[in-house]
Amino acid sequence: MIIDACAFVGRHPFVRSHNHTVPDLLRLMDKFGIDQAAVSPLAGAFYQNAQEANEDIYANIHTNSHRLMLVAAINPAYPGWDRDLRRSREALHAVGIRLFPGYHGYKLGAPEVSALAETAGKMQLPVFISLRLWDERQHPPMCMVPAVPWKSAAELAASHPDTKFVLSMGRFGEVAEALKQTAETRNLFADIAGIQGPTDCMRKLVAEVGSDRLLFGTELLLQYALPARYKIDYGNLSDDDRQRIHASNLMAILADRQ
Amino acid sequence: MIIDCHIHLQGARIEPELVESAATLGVDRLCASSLGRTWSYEPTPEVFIEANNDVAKCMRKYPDLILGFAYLNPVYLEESLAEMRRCIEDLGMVGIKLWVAAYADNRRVFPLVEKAIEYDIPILQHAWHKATGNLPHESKPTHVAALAERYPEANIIMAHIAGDWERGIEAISPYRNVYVDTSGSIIEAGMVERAVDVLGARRVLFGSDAHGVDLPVAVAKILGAEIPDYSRDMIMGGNMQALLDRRVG
Repeated sequence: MIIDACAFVGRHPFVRSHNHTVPDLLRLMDKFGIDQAAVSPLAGAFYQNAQEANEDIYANIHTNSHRLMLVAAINPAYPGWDRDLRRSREALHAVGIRLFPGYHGYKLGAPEVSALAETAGKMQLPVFISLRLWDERQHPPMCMVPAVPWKSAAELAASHPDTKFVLSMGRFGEVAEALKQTAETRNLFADIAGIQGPTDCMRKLVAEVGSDRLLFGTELLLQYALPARYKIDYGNLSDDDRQRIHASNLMAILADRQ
Repeated sequence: MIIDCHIHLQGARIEPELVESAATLGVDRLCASSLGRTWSYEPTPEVFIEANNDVAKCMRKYPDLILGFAYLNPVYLEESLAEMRRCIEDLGMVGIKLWVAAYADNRRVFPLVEKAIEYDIPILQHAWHKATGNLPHESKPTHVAALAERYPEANIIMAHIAGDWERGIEAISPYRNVYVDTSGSIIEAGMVERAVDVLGARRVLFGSDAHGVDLPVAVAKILGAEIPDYSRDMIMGGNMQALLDRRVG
């Protein structure tokens, strides 16, 4: 069983993309042996009102609910975020929420983020934090978005020990440091979508922080899927580590939901 | 035959994990250069000679695996010309590596390119168009295009598809003597397909940028791209082999 903790559907705003729909995602999941995916709308990073992006993709996600789970884009700096959160949970069956602090223009230390983290914790919804969507060096001139500092995500997690957080698209060093910094609360997890090196990266990362807070992630449909598979398959990991990263860690997070 | 056209030493050596990874993944050859034991943007002759000696040691340690590329600094032109001769003729290296000491179309680069043309060896030229700002003298794809226009006989490999791959591909597409390598940490969907569509598979080379990038990631970028199998075979090694077969002597 392999579950992708970091998938998106929607058109790339700056690059012509051939794959952007739910059927495209399902086809690539089939091709690369991915059983299920936690999916967010890419437009959720770009719409002023992120909830509209959740509504756009809900029907297609729900039709394929045996394979796809909605991770709703929520903007805590936008009016009515708490209403959006409840509607996403209750009507759209979201299994988690995704924040794009860089794209929505707030800091993770802001009071509204703390309020959201508190609410999400009570609803037992994990909070996925996109540190970045693309490598900063690749950004188009009209949309330069700095990466979210990993430290602020670790501090947020440490200050809300009853809420689970997932760091998304972190680099090797960012993930290693953030997980070390939350070694006591152990409520911060990280997907592997943004880790492309160094040599033998997965074995080195597991040696540093263990495998119980790492999640398989591709960042489909923005990135190729196979690198994430190969990172694990050729990562010099034990079978137990592989299983934890491939699926069981995320399943455990999602099983907390009421 | 699978050839990774772009790796670097880690300090003075190749990590055994990389050698094992290459064997597991069926990568037959690694084209290796060193950027210095600690990376040096503007290496002195002492630094690049030491770096090349480290590569030569790795070639001797793994004679069936490692193909050496000589690291040079055009700012030290006389020393670089002498070092190129030593590396190619005495140490058996198969190409040269130019990083960020001078723009690709700087006039100090020209004599090195002319010598590379004589040997008929590839020039691995770093390039990146960074939205966050390039290093001083760090080539963008337009610099590579300018060099290619001046020297149509030179075989130039533009590393990383210049990072910003759409821009990079467009900039060098008219110059059939410029190849692109797929090395680096960017695994954005569509980059390999776009390179094949615009440049043709013949001009696309598999590269990893190990040790900075994990070899399985780099291999999967090509294997996972939606391109014909014959294009994939060319990219994974056929094209680089053809370039290496051109060498004089």
